[in-house]
Amino acid sequence: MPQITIDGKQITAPEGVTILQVARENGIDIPTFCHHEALEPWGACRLCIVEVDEGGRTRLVTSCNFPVKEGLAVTTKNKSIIAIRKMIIELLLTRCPNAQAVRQMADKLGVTGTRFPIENEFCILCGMCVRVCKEIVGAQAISFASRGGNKTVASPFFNRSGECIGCGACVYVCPTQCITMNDVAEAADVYSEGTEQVGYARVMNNWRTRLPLKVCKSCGNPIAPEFQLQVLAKKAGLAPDALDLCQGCKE
Amino acid sequence: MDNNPAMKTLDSAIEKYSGKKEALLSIMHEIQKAQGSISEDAARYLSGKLDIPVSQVFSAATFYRAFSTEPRGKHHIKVCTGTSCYMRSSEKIFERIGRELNITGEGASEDGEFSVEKVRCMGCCNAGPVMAIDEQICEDVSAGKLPDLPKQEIIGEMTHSKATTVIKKYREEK
Amino acid sequence: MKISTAADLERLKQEGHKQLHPDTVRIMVGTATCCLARGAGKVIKAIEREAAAQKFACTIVPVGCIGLCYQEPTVEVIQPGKPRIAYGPVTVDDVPEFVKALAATGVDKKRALFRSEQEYSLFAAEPYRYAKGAVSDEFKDITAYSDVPFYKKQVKICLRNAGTINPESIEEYIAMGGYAALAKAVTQMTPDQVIHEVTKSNLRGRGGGGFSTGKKWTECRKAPGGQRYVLCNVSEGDPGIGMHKSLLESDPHTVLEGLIIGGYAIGAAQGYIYISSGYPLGLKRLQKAIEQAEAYGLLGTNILGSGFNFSVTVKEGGGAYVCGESTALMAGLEGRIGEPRPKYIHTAVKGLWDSPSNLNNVETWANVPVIINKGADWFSGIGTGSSKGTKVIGISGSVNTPCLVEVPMGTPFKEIFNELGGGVPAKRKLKAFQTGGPSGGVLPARMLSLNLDYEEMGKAGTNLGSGGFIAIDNRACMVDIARFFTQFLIEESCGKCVPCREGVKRLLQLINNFTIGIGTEEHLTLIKELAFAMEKASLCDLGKTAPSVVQYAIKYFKDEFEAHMQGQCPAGVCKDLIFYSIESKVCTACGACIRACPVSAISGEPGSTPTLDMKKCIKCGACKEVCDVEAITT
Repeated sequence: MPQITIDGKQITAPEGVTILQVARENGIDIPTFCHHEALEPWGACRLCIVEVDEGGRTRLVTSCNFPVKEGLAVTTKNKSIIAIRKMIIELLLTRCPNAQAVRQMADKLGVTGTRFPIENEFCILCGMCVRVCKEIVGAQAISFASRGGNKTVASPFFNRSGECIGCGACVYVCPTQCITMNDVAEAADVYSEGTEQVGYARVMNNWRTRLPLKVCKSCGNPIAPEFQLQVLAKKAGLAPDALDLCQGCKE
Repeated sequence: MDNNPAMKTLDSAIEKYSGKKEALLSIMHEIQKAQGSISEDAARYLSGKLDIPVSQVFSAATFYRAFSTEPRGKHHIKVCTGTSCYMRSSEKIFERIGRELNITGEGASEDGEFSVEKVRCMGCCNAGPVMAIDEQICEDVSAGKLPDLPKQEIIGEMTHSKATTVIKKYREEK
Repeated sequence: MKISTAADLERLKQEGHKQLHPDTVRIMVGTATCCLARGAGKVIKAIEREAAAQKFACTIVPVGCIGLCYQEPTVEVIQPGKPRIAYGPVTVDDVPEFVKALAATGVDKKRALFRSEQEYSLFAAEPYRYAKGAVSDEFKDITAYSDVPFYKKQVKICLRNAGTINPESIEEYIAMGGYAALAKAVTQMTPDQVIHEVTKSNLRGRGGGGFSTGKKWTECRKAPGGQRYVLCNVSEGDPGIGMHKSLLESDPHTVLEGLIIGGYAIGAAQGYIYISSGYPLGLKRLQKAIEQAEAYGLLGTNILGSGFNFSVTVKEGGGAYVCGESTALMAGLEGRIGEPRPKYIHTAVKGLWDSPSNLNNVETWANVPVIINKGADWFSGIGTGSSKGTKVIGISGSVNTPCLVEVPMGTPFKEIFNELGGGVPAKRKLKAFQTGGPSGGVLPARMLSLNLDYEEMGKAGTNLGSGGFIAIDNRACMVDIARFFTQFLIEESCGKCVPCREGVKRLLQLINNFTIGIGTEEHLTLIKELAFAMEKASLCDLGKTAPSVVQYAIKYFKDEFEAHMQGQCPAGVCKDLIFYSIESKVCTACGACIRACPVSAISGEPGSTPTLDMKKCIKCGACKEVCDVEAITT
């Protein structure tokens, strides 16, 4: 059980954890944007930067993925770190000036505006949608495309994703809520495949994907995307059409 | 996929690397060379055969400069924009080619005959500015062969006029 | 036929010797990519034709980079018993006369550059002498190699065989002592002894990191786990630097031998060579070298009867500068996109597929066979206190004699520029130079007082990087150079982390303010602030060093930024701040500019100075380029 200090506070940390985990366990606040406790650390937003002292050698590291070890001394805030976090959020504010989550973080970090010419994106490229789809859902329906300033998150070839099961995990996890999905009763013209039957469908707007919804055998109300139910049935070892009753009619 | 020769290309590329997932980029190189792009169909086919999510193939196809998802022109032009070539006005040659062929930035001409791309360094820093058409690095064209070229002493350098003339030659020769 | 013993190797060495020193004339044509760009491929065919037509008995051999880039296409000729003569340029049009002269007198005085009496060899007890006895009269007036800086200043370790052997002949490589180091390592030394030797030599990473190679090997060997890997980095993404490709195209076996020895030392059974896309010749020669090594049993199972098994796979990258970074490179090898990851746990411990992996630059590997053969003491006898050995340098840009050389560490840049590069061309002045990629910045001419040394350059606030030499003269605008490299980095950023992805974009916007004449002191301050965050917080070195070029440019060329603040571009480069004009006093009224202008902005009667209509002018620079007398100014 490594003994470490964070901002002078002595802490006994569990084995095999990161600085961020220990900090949060102990009520020490470190801002993050691309971190989610259910996902592997990503280390891209760089807000969680802290200074570590390893036996006299200091450096700045991301706390979300730096493993704690015996004798580590961590400083979560100093002049440099504050300046860096402010610049990072100023850069994000430049990219996404109208994203509420970004404005809230800017407020928190004491940044009121940006000195750079603003864009009007909403995606901060935190990657949580891609990561949740890969690590938790296992569909890997979306990915990063291009690189550098053109980097974006997209469905393959910016067309409909054949792997998307319409679970909405990406919608749920997105910090700026820029991923949307709607369930519609008549999806005739939306991302039409031509031969599919129209009717109830879930539309994943960002992924240009329309998933027909299965309707309850009994009451005719929509349950969930057909494809999703097929995938779940297969995972559970059931027949493909086994899940055909809505929650209400089951009971 | 309804195009048999295209399928054959994909299959032989996959076979060449024993269908190994880690050889994705090598296989994509083969396809790019043979088909001039990584199409959605090709990506989906690869995804199935290699058991890699199509999103990963798409990600690689758009991340790396060696691949394009848009088809390249019949004749692909590369203009080197490495430091030495840049100093010798290769950027201006790139612009000149764009004007000649009506291409904005990097891309293909409307008739699909030509496409142009900026590359980093072709390793010919002393022969610059360097340009290649269809993987052939353009060598010096002597004044004798193109009588309207202004006289240039230095061997191997591509100039505006030469670049234009080379392209004109290609058009005529096709 | 597999080489199983030292005796087998010796036998093959004798065979290779016969190829290298045949009874007929051996004509060697430089065929690295840049030589081919100058027509070397056509020259070979022309010589073959002429030799046949003139019934001149000779063997024509494609060799790698001879190094005399300013005289390409270069050809070297060895006649039995005569000195080796370097000729250049020998163009296709020159060939008939050239072959005729060789056939008649044995020498083509018109195109002769240098002569050498003996073969450059690091390993032979007695270097092979081309010419027996005193120099005969017909060759006396050809400058001796040993009298010129191009020869005197060089110590060729990595390039020892370049320009002498056919890179596609393993026999010639073996004839020059090739694979003797491998034999020594696997049959006479333990892996730990090999690592000890490399550590003792003080070889440091040649990719730019300058990290102790021996230390890296030790860490990787000791790392817990089973399968481990040795990797070779030939990504060489720095724009305008091509020497590692030349190395690979000239002598792929030295890299291979080094990698196999490394595999033995570290305990790896598999090696990967990552070569960036767009270098078909290097890739081809490397793959051929591997096939040949496999055929001879120098790769595969039970190498030289030692029980050591090792294979090598070459992988072509997808084209990304960021893949020069070790973790991004490994991601590429795994078939993923080149996004770096933190190295809080070294890749020597957890690298490729989370296994211990030792990644070294191609030039670092090329040194290994020589260190094993000649010993660590010999190697560390070259160079300075902290920087041992040599450095391959491609001298290019605004120099009179661009070339590819290998010089001892510690060589002053002044000598590299003046004596090897031949200084700056007439009418030009050296303004700045660059030794690596964008990360080292562009240094002002006065820093030529520095020596080629990791520590010294670090103290001066820069870094050696991949170690090239690009000379930049007074025609360049430093603000534009900063813009150029920043634009490059925007396109190469992987885009994963905020400081780099968003920061480089804003950096470019700020620099562009200066190129269009609206830059201010506040912008300079903001650049500094932005640079701080990028340097400290970016995920990898691409982002961390992205602000370097503009930071150096502001530090050393502040006057140019100040001029741009006043709306002027002194070098006459930044489009928005210049206008073209024709100096009537200088103009010869040749009409070249009129023909060159794509938008007919220049017009005039024959015999008088043309007029330039700035309203039509698109500032493409074509007119300036074609003017022989430099009458067009900006």
